[in-house]
Amino acid sequence: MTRGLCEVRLTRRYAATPAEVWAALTDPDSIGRWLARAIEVDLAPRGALELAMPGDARITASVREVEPERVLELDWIYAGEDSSVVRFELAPDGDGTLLVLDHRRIDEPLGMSYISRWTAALARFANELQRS
Amino acid sequence: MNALQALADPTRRRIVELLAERERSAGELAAQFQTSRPGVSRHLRVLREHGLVQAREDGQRRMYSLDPAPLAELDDWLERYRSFWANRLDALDTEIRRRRRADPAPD
Repeated sequence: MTRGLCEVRLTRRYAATPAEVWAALTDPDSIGRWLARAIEVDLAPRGALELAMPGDARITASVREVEPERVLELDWIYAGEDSSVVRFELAPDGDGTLLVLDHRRIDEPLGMSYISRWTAALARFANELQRS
Repeated sequence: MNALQALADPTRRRIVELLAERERSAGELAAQFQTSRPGVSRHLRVLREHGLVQAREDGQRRMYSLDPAPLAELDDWLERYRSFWANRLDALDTEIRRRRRADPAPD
């Protein structure tokens, strides 16, 4: 799949083993401290996650893919907005762990791959506006 | 269908690219495609319904141009989540350290 621009991708390195990062990533008490207050956390395949954000907004998520210490991919709905996909990937990196977070807007490779063209088209459009 | 899904169609993407160059009439656009003129009009209607294209009357002709608003929305979405996750991943680092202190790994 072509990676489009309609995607947030962040990479972090943590000085801990994949098992430790995974535990902090998925333990309900830990989730409450780093992500949002956990109302429900079931990270089995097809399990569900419900989180409470400050100011009453809810995040509901369901598990698309889970492989402990390696992958967690969720369908993600924040306060009723369109569904998106959040994926965490862990990989050992020397004595630490690399985490890649990928949050993409729509789960359609076709739609995704054209966002960058669309952006390029609009950049040209903006230039055009300045010229006229 | 949202604005971005509207762009999954190759003819509509080509229309957007043509309009990115400059404003054009429906006839001018239709000349670029094998598709029938009504077919092109139908695509233009979909693009207008999704706010990607706007039209204005110019005498007998209707001129079409791009509307950048949907992309601005997309930028907002990206920016919002970029900062959301950047903060959360820093907090995850703090949490990993906290758990280590509470339960040191044997070595």
